[in-house]
Amino acid sequence: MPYNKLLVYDLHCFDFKQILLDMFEVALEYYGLAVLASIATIQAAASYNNINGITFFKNRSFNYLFSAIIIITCLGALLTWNWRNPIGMVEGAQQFYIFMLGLISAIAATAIISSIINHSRFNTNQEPLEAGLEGLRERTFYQAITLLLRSNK
Amino acid sequence: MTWPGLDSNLFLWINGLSGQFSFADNIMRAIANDYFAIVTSCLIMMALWVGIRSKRRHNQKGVMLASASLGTSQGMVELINSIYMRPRPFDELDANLVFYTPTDPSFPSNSATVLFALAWGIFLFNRKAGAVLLALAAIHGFSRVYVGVHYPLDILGGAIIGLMVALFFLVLFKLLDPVVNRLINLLRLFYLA
Repeated sequence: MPYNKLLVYDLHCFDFKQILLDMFEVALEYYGLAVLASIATIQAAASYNNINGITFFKNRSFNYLFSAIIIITCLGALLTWNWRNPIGMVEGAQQFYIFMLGLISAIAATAIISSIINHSRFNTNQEPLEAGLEGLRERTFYQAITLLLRSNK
Repeated sequence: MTWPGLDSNLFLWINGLSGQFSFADNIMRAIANDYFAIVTSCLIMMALWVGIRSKRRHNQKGVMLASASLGTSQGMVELINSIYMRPRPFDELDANLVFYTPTDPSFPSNSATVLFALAWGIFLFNRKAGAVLLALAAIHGFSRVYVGVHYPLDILGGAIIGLMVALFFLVLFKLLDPVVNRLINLLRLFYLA
């Protein structure tokens, strides 16, 4: 029997509402793991490059430890996915969109959280702005954007 | 021996390794899942994006190329699947299935194509990171054969499609280098690159 016909035949046996609920739960879990792992990767890479404006912890080693714990936990959860979700599947294209959404959420969360945590740590009018990620070594994302907007007025 | 015969024999040999040690089966099942390898590869790409200052722009071009290859290779798989529906090995052979039963066609392996496209894309710009990603894609490909959901040719086909797509984008990126540089400059303006 062709695959598509087999799939249609099989779907008649299931409760569609339950399938949609299961799919949503699985997609939400995947999204959550993508957000957390992305935040942790950004933190580790930022610490490595001394981009202090977007790190969550002042202490570099502590930031590495925080990133390592989250990344290992998320990858562990992904490795054991099939045991926890025997019928839960996120299809290839969906996976791509959910991961992209997770990545955007992670960048936004990093920018907001680090700007709040580090606001008092940096003096906003210290030196002329450097372009790109290097500009976040001595200021938070919020401070950098507001300085950029002020200089463009 | 014909190519399909060689492919089937190689599949039976690799798949025959499963079912002997439950520990090895569990490891292969974990690696063969659709999420672990691709998310790990994407995280490596993110680390490269922030990367080392002196090589940052170069690596960022690699990440952009890999992302374009990833999306396009996914489209290529869907196109090939609509034309050619190869049955899964567990439908045709006496395979030892230690995984869930996928319902889409076997050739080319969707996950292997995407992983190899991404890995080749990075490899063209950064040999070390690219080699790690290629190794991850190869291990994932092997595990998919081991657990009984793909023929070796499905993985090899995916690797070749991935390479072709990445090479196409390499040529395109060389031609559109000023546009790519402008895009990176725009992202740098907002502290995102």
